[in-house]
Amino acid sequence: MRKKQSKEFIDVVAASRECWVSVSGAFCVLWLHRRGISFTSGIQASCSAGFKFSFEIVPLYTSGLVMGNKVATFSEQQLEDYQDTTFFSRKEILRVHRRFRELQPELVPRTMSMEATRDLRLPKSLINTLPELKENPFRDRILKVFSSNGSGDLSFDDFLDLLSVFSEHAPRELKLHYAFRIYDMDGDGVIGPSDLKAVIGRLCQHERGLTPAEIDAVVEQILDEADVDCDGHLTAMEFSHVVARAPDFVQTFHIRI
Amino acid sequence: MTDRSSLHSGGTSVTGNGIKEAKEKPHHLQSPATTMSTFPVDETKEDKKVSWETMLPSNRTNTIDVRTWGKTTSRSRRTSTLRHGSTPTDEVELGMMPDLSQGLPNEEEMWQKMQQIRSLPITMGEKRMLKAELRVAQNLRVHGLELIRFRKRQIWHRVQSFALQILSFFSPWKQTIRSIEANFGTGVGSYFLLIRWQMLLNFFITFFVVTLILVPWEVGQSSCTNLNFTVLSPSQSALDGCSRSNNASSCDDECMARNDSCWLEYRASVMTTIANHSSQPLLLIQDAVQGTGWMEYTVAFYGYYQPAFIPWGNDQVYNFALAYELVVYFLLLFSLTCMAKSVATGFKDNIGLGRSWLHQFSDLAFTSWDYCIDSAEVAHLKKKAILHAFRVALADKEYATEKAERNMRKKINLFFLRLSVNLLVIGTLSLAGYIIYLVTSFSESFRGNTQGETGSFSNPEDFQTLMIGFLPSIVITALNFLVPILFRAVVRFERFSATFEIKITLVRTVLLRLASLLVLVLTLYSSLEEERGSNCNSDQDAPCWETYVGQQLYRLCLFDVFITIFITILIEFPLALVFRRSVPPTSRWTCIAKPEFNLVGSTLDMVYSQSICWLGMFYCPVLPIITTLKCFIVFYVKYFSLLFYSCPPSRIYGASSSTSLFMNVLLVSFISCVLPLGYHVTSLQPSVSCGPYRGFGTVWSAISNEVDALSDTFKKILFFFGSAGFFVPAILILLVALYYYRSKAVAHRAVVESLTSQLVLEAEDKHFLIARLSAVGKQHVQV
Repeated sequence: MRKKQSKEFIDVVAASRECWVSVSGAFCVLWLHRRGISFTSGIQASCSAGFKFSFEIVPLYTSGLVMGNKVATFSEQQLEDYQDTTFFSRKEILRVHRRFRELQPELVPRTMSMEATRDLRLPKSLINTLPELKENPFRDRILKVFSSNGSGDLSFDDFLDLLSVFSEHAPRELKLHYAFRIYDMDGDGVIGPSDLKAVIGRLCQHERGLTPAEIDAVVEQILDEADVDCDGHLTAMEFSHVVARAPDFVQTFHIRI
Repeated sequence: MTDRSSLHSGGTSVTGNGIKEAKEKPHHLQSPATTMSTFPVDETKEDKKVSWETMLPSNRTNTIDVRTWGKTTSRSRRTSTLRHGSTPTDEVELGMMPDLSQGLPNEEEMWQKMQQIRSLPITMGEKRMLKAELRVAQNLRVHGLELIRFRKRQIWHRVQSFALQILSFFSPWKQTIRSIEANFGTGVGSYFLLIRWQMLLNFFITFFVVTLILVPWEVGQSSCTNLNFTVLSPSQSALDGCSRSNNASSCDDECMARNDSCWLEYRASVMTTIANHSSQPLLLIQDAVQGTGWMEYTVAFYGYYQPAFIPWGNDQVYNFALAYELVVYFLLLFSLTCMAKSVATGFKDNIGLGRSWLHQFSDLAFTSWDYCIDSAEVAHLKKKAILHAFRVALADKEYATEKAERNMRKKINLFFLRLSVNLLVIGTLSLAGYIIYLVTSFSESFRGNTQGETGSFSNPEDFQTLMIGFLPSIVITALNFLVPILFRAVVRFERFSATFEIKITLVRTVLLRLASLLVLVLTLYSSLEEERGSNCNSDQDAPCWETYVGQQLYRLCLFDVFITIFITILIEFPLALVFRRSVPPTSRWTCIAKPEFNLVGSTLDMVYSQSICWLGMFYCPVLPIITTLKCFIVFYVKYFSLLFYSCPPSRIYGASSSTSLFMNVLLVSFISCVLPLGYHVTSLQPSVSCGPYRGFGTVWSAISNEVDALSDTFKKILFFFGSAGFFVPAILILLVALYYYRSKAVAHRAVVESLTSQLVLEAEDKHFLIARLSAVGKQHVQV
């Protein structure tokens, strides 16, 4: 009991501190905003991110406080299970649920039963609208890989799985496993030249993108570097051998929630 | 195939030989590690068992191999999973472990398995079932020593997760950095992380400076009655209330009296200035930014302190001179440790693990996309940047072939071209150094001329003095701004590859910055050299040269903050506002309306301010405080510039390369800051008229005096550490260790090579066999 209290205390302190920092940061932004200076969309997004945050954290936190007895989203057992099977803390699990529910509030209940977390699926078109996924060129692959029935529609469990793998604390090996499956576009267990072409094509979507000859040259270079046994495709082992050494992999294969 | 469970099996069948084989393969592979099935799983639960086997072969040896569930995992569930399994020591440890796999697993193993569930690549439902299984599974209780160890590990685990929460409390701006990363990529995000790191480091330094230098002195001073100099005669010891540091070895009574008189003279001159300036607000402000006048006689500068024993509780004294020195050493050492740790991690990632230049294209294809990005504009820019990076990589390849084909004449041409460019660069650097030297000497001599007539300024002259006082700072900042532009221009002629071009410009810029700082300090040292002497009457110009050095660095620091804010808010921002509407996005003037965020330049700025802090900490103990504030301000100024007008860099900067750049440059600048300080501490005589070391031979002698006062045996031990008898064997041992690790690294490399060739051979075998098989099959059909 005491341990719990101290943990909650830390959470409260952390929340208030973040509030303070982001409020002070958002202050000048808001001030200029009110003066009628308009900015580009990216700016507005980040403005609202800072702004939204400082106003959201308080209600979120209070819901976390009463969670134990009044408005319980999950049972104690469920929460414990989630804590043991993901890289999230209680607070983060509740935040993930909030994000999930925001997608379609009339469909997703406030109180999630065991069945609801497993069987209630949101269609992929809806999940694609999440800002974290909206701009990702591999979003359809991500949804497909994490959907437990292979359709691309995610249940809450799948959604939590997805974010857990992409979270900060997930180990490199786990991330590698899923990265391989995301880049294995045709799902044949190896990354062949066609998969590579598709990956490069998605990465360089641009009006003056790479020419087919350039893409072929790049594919050739990649196979040259990574295909150790020269059989014309990358196996999971070759893939993890190369990518695990890339210094930025863990930082970039990361979605914050 | 797209079905999830079959995809899992697909993951295991890495050889691509179909699912059927894959289904069998894990069973086969599982046999050496049957421990995992020791929790009761009856055969009907076959489908659940699959969940354990749905791993890449590489992972099978890394994460879930039950053998490695052993000792290595539990230290920290957050980090160990990233590291364990790959180190050879684990294997050794496993070999030495008693084999517990025969019977039921014990509590400890179950607990570890429970901790590991989260890093298995299986669906939530499967994980949940696995957890339920583990929970009801029978296990052995651990007893005795094992139990203690187990409990210790559990507690340690809890403490660690608790500590992580506490640590997250000390990382402000989490949300801000998150939104920066989402909008501008991890490369820019890492710059802000570095500012945060630097701010925390400086905060820590500030904490120690305040608690161990500033506060003890202020408190001690108020308790020392006779520090009030209204009634004082030189013959009397100036510090009656507090006994003064004992440095009898270098100074007799007469010399002490002379020192005191020098100090009184210095103090009187400062007091006159303060009195003269006190009625004019303009002069007071000028003093504040220049660190002269009233500012000179505060805790901010070296000259304010005294060699004293401050009474401390009952019969205890606080040897201020010693403490001052030790605090500075400790903080420098602390900074070095922090940096070395970061550099070592970066090194491990980049070179030990990475060799990323070997996998340039694969890295681009598989790791260049930033999954953090969530704004359309930035996603578009990122795609453009990746496209650009692919083109650069292809161009680099072409460059390599072109370089190989270069004939003798072209080579000679290029050699002379590069030689002349390098000469030009060296010439520019020396010229910059000479200009700094001239300006500093001028400003210093001017200060000398006006010293006697303080207080007789009329207003325009005030401004003139302010300008001349700031002249070195202005010139240095201007050179730092202008000369890199020249460097960037000339590097085009040298025809290096695109990546190397950036690196060499960077190195030159760093050289310029460090050289300008060094020239400044050395000029100050040397121009003050002749004025330093035992007789204080001769040094009218700079009665306290340490304070003077401190003032210069203080101005430099302030000016740097000022320039950063000025350029961002008063120049770039209005320009961007004015030109935003009128300039079409494709025009070449977009660099005014929407300048690119200069990641490398901004990083260097931070390094530079940190080197000023290290260099000046001894002379001006408040510099860490200013630097902390500066980090705070720069964070928001840069955030502001990103939000309102900058666009993210068009080149791909990985977070790791930006971090390692920062740390490596910081380390170099640290060393070049410590060198002059070390020279000062060991070889120069401190001013006789001010500071905690007046009357000492060198600053170091405060420590050596203290050592002399110790007991004989202890002294002998300490002297032994300083003697050749210790150093020669120590260096020899270090060399041997170095040699050992080097040969180990060479051996490992050889193993890697032979393994690679073995892999290739096996692949050839496979091709050969498949060819034979198909040939035999054809023959069979024909028959």
